[in-house]
Amino acid sequence: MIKLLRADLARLFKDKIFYIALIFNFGFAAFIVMTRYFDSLEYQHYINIPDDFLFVGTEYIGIVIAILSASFIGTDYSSGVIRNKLTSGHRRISIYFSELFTGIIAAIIIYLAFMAAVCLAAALGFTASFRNDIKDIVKTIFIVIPSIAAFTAFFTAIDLPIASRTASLIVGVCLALGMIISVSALKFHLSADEYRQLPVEVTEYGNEPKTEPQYEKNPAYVDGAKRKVFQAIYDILPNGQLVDINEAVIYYKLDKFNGKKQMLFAFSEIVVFTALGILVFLKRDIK
Amino acid sequence: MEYVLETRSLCKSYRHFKALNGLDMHIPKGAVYGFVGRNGAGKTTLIRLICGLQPPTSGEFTLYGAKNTGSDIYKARRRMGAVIETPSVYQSMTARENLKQQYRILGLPDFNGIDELLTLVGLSETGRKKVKDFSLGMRQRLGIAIALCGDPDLLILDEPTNGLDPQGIIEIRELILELNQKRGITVLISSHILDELSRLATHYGFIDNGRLVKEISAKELEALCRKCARVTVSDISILALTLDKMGLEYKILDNKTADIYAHPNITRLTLSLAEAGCELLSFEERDESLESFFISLVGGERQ
Repeated sequence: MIKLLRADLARLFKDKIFYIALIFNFGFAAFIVMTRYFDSLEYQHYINIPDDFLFVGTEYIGIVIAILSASFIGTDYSSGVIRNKLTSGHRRISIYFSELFTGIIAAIIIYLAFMAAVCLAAALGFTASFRNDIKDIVKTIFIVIPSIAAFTAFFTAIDLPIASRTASLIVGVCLALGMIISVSALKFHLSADEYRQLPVEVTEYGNEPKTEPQYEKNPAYVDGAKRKVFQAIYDILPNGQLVDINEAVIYYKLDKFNGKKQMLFAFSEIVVFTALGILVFLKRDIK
Repeated sequence: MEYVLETRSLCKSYRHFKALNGLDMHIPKGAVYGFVGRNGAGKTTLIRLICGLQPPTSGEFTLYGAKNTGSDIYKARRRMGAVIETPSVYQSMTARENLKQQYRILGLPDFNGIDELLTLVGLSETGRKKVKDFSLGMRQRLGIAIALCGDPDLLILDEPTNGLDPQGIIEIRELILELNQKRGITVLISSHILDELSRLATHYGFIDNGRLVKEISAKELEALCRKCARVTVSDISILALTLDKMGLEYKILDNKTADIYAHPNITRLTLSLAEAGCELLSFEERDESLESFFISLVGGERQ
């Protein structure tokens, strides 16, 4: 497998899509930081660079990984080089792990590019320093990495059996977008208050209410078994984990954040997705 | 005789379609084995099985003594190189980069030998040109160069001359002959171009409907391919009667032409036909070609 990994990494570092993703992520980070900074100047509200932005990109990295994985693995199929690997005597399981590890390394490098742009903005003087303890930030990076790896394992499990670059791309991007939308919707319901205040009539000369505020059950609130299901899905989805990590950093709640639980979910997903992917890939007839 | 590849009752089914149906094959060491069959006969399917792209449904094969079900098969596959249907090359890389990539896949310690390979296949002047800008012939040659990385003992070529111009076909043929005769590489080559194969092969395997109908050496085939005399006459029925009287074996081709599988006395035949009121219009001596042998073997459809 080491031989294949060397070959795949050599190809990765020659791959145009990889460099486009790298530059895009760096530029995207810079764009987010700049726009939020100028917003904060205009509307007089406080932001902290880098804490508020360091892990923001993790919420969208699924799309980048989907595109990169479909392109990289799809090229091996479209060029036919996967046949060379099999004909040369490599086992399918070695080919799978080589593609997986290459994908994980690519995803981590791309995410580090995002973080580098944020740190560069901080260093250029937009803000003072980290609000969170630097040790906690470093710990958080090590918690984020398995979730990014879980994303990669998911898309590798989809792309290797599919054998078509176009089909992988479409399926991958749709799934990535689906996950983002799902996490947003789940988060909306899970963070909704149980009761919401009804609109009140106010006096002409101020905002004093004419009547006592009244409350009703919030239809967005979920409880009971439904809440448990929503929470389970949210915890399982890799970008759900990453949203929680990001919020913990932004709202200075890293001490309350259960990093071990997140890592356990992420590692479990890596094992499950990889096992399923290998099972399907082993049986696949390659043309 | 030592065999590089042997298959025993090899079968491969895709849902309800049986692509290989109990194929038994033997490729001797040092041979150029011509694999001949119609479209859909199972040639590429067999090659895919040997290369590990697909598992057989039943049956087995051994490659350099290693069974396909054993763990030694992976080691045995390192002794072979293959070009299956289309060359497996990265379009965005140059010829040299593709070869370097194959060297990495094989785990070779350095990139020595790449220049020699490029010269051997005639691609040493391609420089920085990307494969996507190569002609079909250049890609085929690069595919062969990639298959030759790591000095294989067995080379499998699936229709290597497809889409090539006559010059390209000659170059590939000469390359294959050089590899076989000078380097002792065993070659399995599947092709539709029987005439081209007849200039290369030392052994033949004729496949039809997933079965090997005949396996034969080139020498044996030469002996089997029958000489005949093709005659054109004005009345085929009179010719048939005359040949029956003379006790000669023949085959009627159409209402004016027949093949006579013997050396008839031409004077006697002409006089006999003339007496019966039939004119002998033409007389031509012929050898049975590989094509006609193949057609007779698989019962081909002629229009």
